Amino acid sequence: MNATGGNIMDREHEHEDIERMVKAAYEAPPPRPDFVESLGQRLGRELDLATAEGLGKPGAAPLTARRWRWAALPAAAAASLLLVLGVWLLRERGDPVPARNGQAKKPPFDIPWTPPRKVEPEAFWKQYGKYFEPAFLKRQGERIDKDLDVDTLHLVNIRTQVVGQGGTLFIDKSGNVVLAAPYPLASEFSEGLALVGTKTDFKKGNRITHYGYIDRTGRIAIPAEYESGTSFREGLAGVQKDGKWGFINRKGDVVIAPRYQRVEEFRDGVARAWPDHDTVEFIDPKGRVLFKGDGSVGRLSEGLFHANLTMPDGTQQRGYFDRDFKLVIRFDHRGKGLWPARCGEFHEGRAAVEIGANTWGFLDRDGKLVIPASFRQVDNFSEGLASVSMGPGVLDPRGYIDRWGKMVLEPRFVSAGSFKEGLACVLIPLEDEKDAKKHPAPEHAGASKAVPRGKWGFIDKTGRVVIEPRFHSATSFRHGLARVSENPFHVGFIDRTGAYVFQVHEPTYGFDQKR
Amino acid sequence: LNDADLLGLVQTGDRAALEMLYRRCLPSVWRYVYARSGGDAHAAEDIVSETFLALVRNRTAFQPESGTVTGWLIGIARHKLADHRRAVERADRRPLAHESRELGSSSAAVDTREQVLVTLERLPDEERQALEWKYLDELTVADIAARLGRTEKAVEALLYRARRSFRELLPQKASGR
Repeated sequence: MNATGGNIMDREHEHEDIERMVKAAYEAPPPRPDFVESLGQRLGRELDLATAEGLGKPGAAPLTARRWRWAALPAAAAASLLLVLGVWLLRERGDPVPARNGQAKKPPFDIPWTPPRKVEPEAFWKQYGKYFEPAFLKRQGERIDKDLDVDTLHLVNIRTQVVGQGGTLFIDKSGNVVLAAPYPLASEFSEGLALVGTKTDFKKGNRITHYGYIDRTGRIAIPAEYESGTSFREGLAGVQKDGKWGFINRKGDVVIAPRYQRVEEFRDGVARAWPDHDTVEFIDPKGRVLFKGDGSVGRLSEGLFHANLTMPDGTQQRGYFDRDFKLVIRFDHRGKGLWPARCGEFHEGRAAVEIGANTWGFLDRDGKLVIPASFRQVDNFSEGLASVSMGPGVLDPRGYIDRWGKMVLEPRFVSAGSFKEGLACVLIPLEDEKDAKKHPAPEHAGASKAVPRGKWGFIDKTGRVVIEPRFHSATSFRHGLARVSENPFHVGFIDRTGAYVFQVHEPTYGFDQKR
Repeated sequence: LNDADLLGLVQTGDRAALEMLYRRCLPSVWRYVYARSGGDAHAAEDIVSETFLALVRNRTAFQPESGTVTGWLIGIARHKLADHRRAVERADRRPLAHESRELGSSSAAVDTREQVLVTLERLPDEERQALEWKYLDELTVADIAARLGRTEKAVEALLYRARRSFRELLPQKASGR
């Protein structure tokens, strides 16, 4: 072998070495689908809220009037330029993420890749635009079945790049479009009302400035006069007016005047509210303050919440408090008492607690550690089971335990969601030999197996795969349907047999649509 | 649209652009945080959430000339990780799991992994990002170029520099040579 050949070989080996080491160092299971979905939704809401609050409010970069004038000009010019560029690209490619060299862009996770289907703009709008026509919207209230519980509807956003075009479709468990909300923002129905953001202020950076609520006919039931809002729960919804949060009832009457920086929805007759950044209050539906604490005060769940309070006499009270705000499970770091590093909420009579370094177990409502701390990762209990993983490896498979800690479904999933309606979504590793060879075992991580690749499917409580793994992402079942996708540019809803009842390609990021 | 273009749209309140940017950047941020939180998925979820929320709240603070969007996010995640460590130490009065492992582990494999992570941490954001996209996301040079808004030649040069820096900074024992 000559010197040049040797160098090339060395370089190739070196590239492989670096690749193997980087892969081993970052070896990680994919994030839980429920987490990905809920964080995505939360970010959307946060953006709406932030744009509604304006750039001058806390959390955004402070701009003086002078700087704002200077900042606004290039920002507006850049936004216009980007929009024109984006529209041109999208029209050219017919694909929201332009493909290069004929190759579709890879998915974000290490999952077999189904290329997105190319959707023609005209066909797309022909299929979905009809739901946002005045004729459909005007009569949709007459068509809705009066026995239908609108809280069970699923929503999917249909939008194009044309500002104001599209909105949210509400579909029932058969996949029929029941309602359409032609607004920039709509949330799921709760107690018969759904939060909608109705107006965008284009002069203020496309901020949604008006929030209200629609009823089961799709009509505005509570006028859009708020800067933001929460869903209704226990007859009340949090709303923001002049920067402060209060609560309204189902008629739209203000029952707790806006005075809070932030509020949560009511649960078991109380809600957490923040009068300032460092203080948390539990308030009742009349706005009376029942309990006051600092930022450590957790959310009430099944009548208990965690808090770590320093009392006026300097003593520390840490543990779970009940609905009467009495300390019923006390943690004490002196002696042999429990002193968990972190504490979860109670679900089905069990709360996850971290005992020791990164090792989790479960408490019962008497404060007894009924499931010893032996799990590396745990989820909350749902329908009698919780997904867990054991051992020190970062890619240890997940299984399910029962409420007494018995492993009822052996660990064999790369990732696992909660059981809902009898089924759980799980990331099932591929057993394809060719695939395994493509991803040899990382030598530097102490792991004895290849980085697993897989697809999401659904199992029942016996561990039987009832919906074959074929999805890029999946979420738990809710009201008979599960939201899934086959690639990042696809959204569908499947029933318990795995059949699609509704699906849309390119649902939220459309294209320039000339009508 | 590259990441910076998408962030430009996010700054105007475009929710769809945010969704796309989130789905693009999540894998990198997740991996970074997960690896550095000692494989603690609960903590990683908290930190990743806080990182993306910070992106939304401070979306006008990004300066394209100072790096990539993902690099900026990783910078935020780094601060959040440090905050998290301090908070846990305060609450628990114990060192974190991964810190004790760094000090006391006898596992050669884990040591090597930590050394690789430290080496990657010492690389400039753009170089680390290029290696991650190339080896973990298996993006082609063309894909990376599109995402960074650079030419393919520039990306090849970036990858060359990244490998060279990695090789130079990695302790000999860890590299196995």
